[in-house]
Amino acid sequence: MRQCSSLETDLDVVVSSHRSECMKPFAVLLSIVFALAGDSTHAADLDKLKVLYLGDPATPRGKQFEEFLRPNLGRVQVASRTAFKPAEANEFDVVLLDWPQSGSDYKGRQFLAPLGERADWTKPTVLVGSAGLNLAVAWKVRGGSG
Amino acid sequence: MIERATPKAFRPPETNATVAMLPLVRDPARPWSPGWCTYPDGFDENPDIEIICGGENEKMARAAACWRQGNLLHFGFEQSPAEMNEKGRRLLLNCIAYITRFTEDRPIAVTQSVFAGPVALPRAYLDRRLGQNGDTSDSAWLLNNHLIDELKGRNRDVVRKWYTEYRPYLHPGADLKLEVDAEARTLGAPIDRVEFFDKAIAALRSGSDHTQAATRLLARYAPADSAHLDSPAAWDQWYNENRPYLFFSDQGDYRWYVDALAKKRGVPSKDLRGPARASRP
Repeated sequence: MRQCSSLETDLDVVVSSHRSECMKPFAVLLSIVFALAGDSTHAADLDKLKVLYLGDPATPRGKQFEEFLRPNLGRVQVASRTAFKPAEANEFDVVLLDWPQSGSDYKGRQFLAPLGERADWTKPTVLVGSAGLNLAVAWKVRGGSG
Repeated sequence: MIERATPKAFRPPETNATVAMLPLVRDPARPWSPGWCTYPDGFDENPDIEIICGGENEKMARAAACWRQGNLLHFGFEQSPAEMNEKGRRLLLNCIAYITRFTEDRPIAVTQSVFAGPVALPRAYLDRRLGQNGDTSDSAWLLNNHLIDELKGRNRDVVRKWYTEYRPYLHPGADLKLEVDAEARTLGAPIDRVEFFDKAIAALRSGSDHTQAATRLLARYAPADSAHLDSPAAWDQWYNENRPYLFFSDQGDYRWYVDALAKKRGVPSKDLRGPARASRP
């Protein structure tokens, strides 16, 4: 694991080591909506949701997501992130994109999003873990600084 | 909540020895794979962004862990549900339920990542160095050489005063370092305030020596889809229609954007924030 660096103090180091792995699983209250960690969503709401999980279904991590999501949501389908076609999301309410960092450098290479083109993607989406970084690089949305 | 030792990156603003945090895993004592969080620079100016919570991290106290931009909800914690405790799993489920309400909102600004190649950096980095500390010693990678030479050796109060005056005119030059936009300065058109359009369109209308400069400024900073506007009257109409929905982003391209969702709903962008941007209850 690499030590996280500050973008502002050492830009070159960070740019060449994008795997700045620097957040631990402890949530910190910043502003408003922390009630999301509480019991604010009714079971009935979740029972109606149709969810598509895009990741690596054959891995232990993919199976752990599937085992958790199936009994807690209305309809759950898991699919391979690498083989996904955006039209396959049409029938779902929300997509979970689980897209780990690959370890290779982003610079100088085309970096395609599994979800297709930014302008065409309309589905509400949860970006799990480093998916936010990967998608920020591919789509030029926020989340790619650090 | 439990008290955790205050991460070094949280100082300042944190001054206490510990910070209250909510563990999202069953065994807080063991090491866990790190996730991904994001600097929040410019978040307040972007109407499509809201922060849900931060996380223990090595960037800064305000770095965002769970946050939303348009129809994208970042759940930056890396652990699988099998590794999470009940709070962590509930946070994930509630994030899933929450984002389903945002069927119309979209990420708006174009913000190239620093990891994808050279990119202009936001003025927030200079805010801390020049605006707060009045210190140019660590600004050479952000500010162009001419300005560094000009400010070098000046006392801190003078640097702070200079920065306050010129910040609204800083933009990336050809080398992507920030420099003063001389044309904007001459017109007195701060590039990051809505008055920019008042000044630029007035100069366009005046037919004076500043007309060409105004044309270039509008091409440089106005929303990309306004490029077809070719007369003062057309700019006036566009501005009247879009003024309540405009916001400026210095996260990469230093450009104005129209908040399309706010415009569609007829609600000023400043008043359409956070959960109000949802399309479903």
